[in-house]
Amino acid sequence: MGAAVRGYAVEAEGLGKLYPNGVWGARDVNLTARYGEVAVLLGPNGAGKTTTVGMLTTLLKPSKGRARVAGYDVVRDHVEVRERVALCPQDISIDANWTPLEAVTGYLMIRGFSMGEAVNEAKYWLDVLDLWGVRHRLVRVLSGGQRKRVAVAMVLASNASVLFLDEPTAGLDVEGRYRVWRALREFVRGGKCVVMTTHDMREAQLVADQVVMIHKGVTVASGTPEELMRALPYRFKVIIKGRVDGLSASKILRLGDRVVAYARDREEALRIAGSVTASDVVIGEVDLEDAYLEVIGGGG
Amino acid sequence: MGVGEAVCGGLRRVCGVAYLASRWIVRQPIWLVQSVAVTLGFFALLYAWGGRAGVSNFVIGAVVAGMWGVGINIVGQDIGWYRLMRLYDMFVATELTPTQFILGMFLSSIVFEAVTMTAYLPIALVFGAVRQLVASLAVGVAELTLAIFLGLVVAMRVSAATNVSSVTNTLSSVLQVLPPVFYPAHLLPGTVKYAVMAVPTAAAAELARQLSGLGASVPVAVPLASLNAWILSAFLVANKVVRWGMG
Repeated sequence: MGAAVRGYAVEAEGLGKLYPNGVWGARDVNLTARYGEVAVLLGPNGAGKTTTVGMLTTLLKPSKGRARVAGYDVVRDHVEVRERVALCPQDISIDANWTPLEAVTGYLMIRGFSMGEAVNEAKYWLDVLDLWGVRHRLVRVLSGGQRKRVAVAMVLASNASVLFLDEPTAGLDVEGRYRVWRALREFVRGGKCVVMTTHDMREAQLVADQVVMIHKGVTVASGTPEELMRALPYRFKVIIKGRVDGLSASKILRLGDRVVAYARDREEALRIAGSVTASDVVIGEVDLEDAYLEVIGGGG
Repeated sequence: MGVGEAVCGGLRRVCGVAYLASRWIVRQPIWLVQSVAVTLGFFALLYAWGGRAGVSNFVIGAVVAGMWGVGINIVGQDIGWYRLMRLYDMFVATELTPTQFILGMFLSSIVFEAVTMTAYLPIALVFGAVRQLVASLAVGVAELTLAIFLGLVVAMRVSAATNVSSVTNTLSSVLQVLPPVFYPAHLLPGTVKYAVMAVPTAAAAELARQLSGLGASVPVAVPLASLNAWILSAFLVANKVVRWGMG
């Protein structure tokens, strides 16, 4: 089931979707993702991430632009695309009458696995996601986090070339998120590609090889997390608890009784920290969240 | 990919859908108990009032009503729920074709009906209603096909997937008990028995009665034309409204 072209796993250019109600779900999405990478579509709720995933997995027909997945056009070659992708939709709800083992096994049979092959694959991924111990329990008695991990196990076990996971860690506790992240990193080490969506900047910074920032249906920036952070005109931020007046900094965000002051270098950060009388001052490096706010001109 | 491999893959996919879609029957066998109990209740009712003739009508009614319920209610509801749970989207983004998906859902539902059938199979044997059983099963295949198409249309067209059950339940039960399914159409007055043939379950039951030698309420062409028109229309509508991605 090799890709027709072993180039980009996902390419999208000017992709847009106009829904029948006249609303654009996505307007101009541009992205590339390579094999062996986790690409994260990052943006707030309503940014167009789910619509983009819908078009890339052939659920939705693009109204404009073009996209190729695993080397195949998502419209003209949608059958070939479907053979090579697996989708874990947002808000997926696993049937309460299934057990984790049945869910993964049944899904793999749908993908053409024999029962024996399906059970073997299921064993591996249920174990990776810490679900092996509950493999025979009904989904209805599992926790929300365990249910979500069952859905992730289903698509990981499919061994598809390109996985699409729409907010796979939403609602998971810290340990559950780390298990999913570890599983996704392990999956791409095998030369596959993962495209996931999130609005959690920290998750994107930690797990992504490529970040595609989407805002109001448009790709506003893309690159590695490091590239996106390096593009910022600031390197440090000073978080000050308490109201501060007359502060001088390259950029200041006021959050009620908190202030975030951005600094171009360490010296400026130390100067800002020394200029305030507030007792609680923390200096840190800028992160992806700061890059995102800068790109969209947000933060107040 | 060779033909054999493609066929094998296709069968596995159908079995995969059937496997997942039949889990509820294993987990909630009480539904089977309910179905068997209702079937036996109808048998008792018709036997008490109609003797052996009542049993013949019971067998036809049980098969026709059962097939209708399986197609429109179970298949329609399951697909509606899969849409709601987003499992439908998950399945679209695979090699699975819509035909394989529907076949898998159908297979899982047949398991349910087969268990119910164990209740009326011995009754047909004991009361000499085997001809009625065979005739209604033959007509039932066509009726089931129609019911699946209609179930699909409902599952796809009802915008709130949570409302699918209310529509399919109503369509299912009303058309099972109200028209002449468990009773012969000749009991109805004049033109009413012709008009009622526009109801698919009534047409199917009438055909089964005529095929098994229980007499004709209307000329055979009437229920035959009705059922065929329903199947053709439902197929055309289903073909138009069923979306397998790319929406």
